[in-house]
Amino acid sequence: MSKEEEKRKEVPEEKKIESFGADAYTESAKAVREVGARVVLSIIAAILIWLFGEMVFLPISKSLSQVFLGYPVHSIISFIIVVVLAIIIFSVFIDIRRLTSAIAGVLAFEVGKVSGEADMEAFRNYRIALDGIIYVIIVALTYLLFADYMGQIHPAIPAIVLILIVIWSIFALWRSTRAIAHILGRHTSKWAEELEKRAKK
Amino acid sequence: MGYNNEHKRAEAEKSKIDDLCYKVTSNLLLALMIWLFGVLVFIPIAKTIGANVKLFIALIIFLPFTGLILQLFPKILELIDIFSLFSIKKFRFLRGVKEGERFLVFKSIYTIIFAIVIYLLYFPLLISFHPAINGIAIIIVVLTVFFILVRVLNIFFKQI
Repeated sequence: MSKEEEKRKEVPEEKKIESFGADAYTESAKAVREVGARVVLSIIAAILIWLFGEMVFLPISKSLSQVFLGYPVHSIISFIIVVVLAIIIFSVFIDIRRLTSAIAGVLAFEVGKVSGEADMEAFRNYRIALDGIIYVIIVALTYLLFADYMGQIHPAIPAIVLILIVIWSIFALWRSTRAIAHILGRHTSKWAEELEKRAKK
Repeated sequence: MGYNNEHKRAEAEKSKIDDLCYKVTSNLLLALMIWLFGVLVFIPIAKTIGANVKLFIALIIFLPFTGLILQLFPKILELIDIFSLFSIKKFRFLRGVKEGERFLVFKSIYTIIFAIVIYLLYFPLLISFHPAINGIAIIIVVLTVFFILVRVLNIFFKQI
């Protein structure tokens, strides 16, 4: 056994949890400082582009009767706005992942502190659970930004995209509920045993 | 040797319970999540696109939700039995009634609650398909509840 391992064994459980919590809070503060402003700015930019597109450029382009390469002007304008929104949103996705990791760390510490089970496995499970749910919410909100513009390009596109999103979200939720079940599993088996004992009495 | 075997059996039993709890919790949570996101987010979005899309999305949500509920069904029935047993010990009313009949009363009450909850969960999905399908489901639930109540009332009338 190495010296480092011996040292780690000597540290009491409470101290380990406290240091885990301190690390989680430091990491989350760092993540919020580094990517928080960028995420907020990107979201504001996306909303502004959506507003200008919806209220200024699309009405103007609909009043034009010209056709380029067989496509009406409003379809081309919608396509451009969809591409720009997609670039902004996908660049934000990476930053959001860092934020969710930080929040998961804090959550794992705060919940684990009570039961004395704040460890790396709990942190991993909280992160997977949060990632899945937050991603589904973000994708649903993002879809609302895109839906109208995609409908301008072709009426079938928003329907197809929505169907794909629903199928993807079922798998994403499946992954995150498995992680939540891992977290809850420790408690539910205890409750089941307790209930079984009481019923036998 | 004997102690070892018993210990192993107890461990195996415990891991079986843990596994069962994990599966039930996981399936229950997934069904709940699919229902929440489906009914509160995706179906309203689909409604803005068109009636056909709404129908299709409702079907996509309906299939995995039903699959999960069917998987959970035997476990829920077991849970109803456990809760009924627990309720016999906990609640002391119906003292004159035999224990087996009291068990049946509690089981019937929990079954009715379960049937109503299941119907309420399916309601937004069924109404998205067609109001008539929802109507058929209501009739089935009402008839089931009626027959269960008749069984319970028989026990009460025997007492009077």
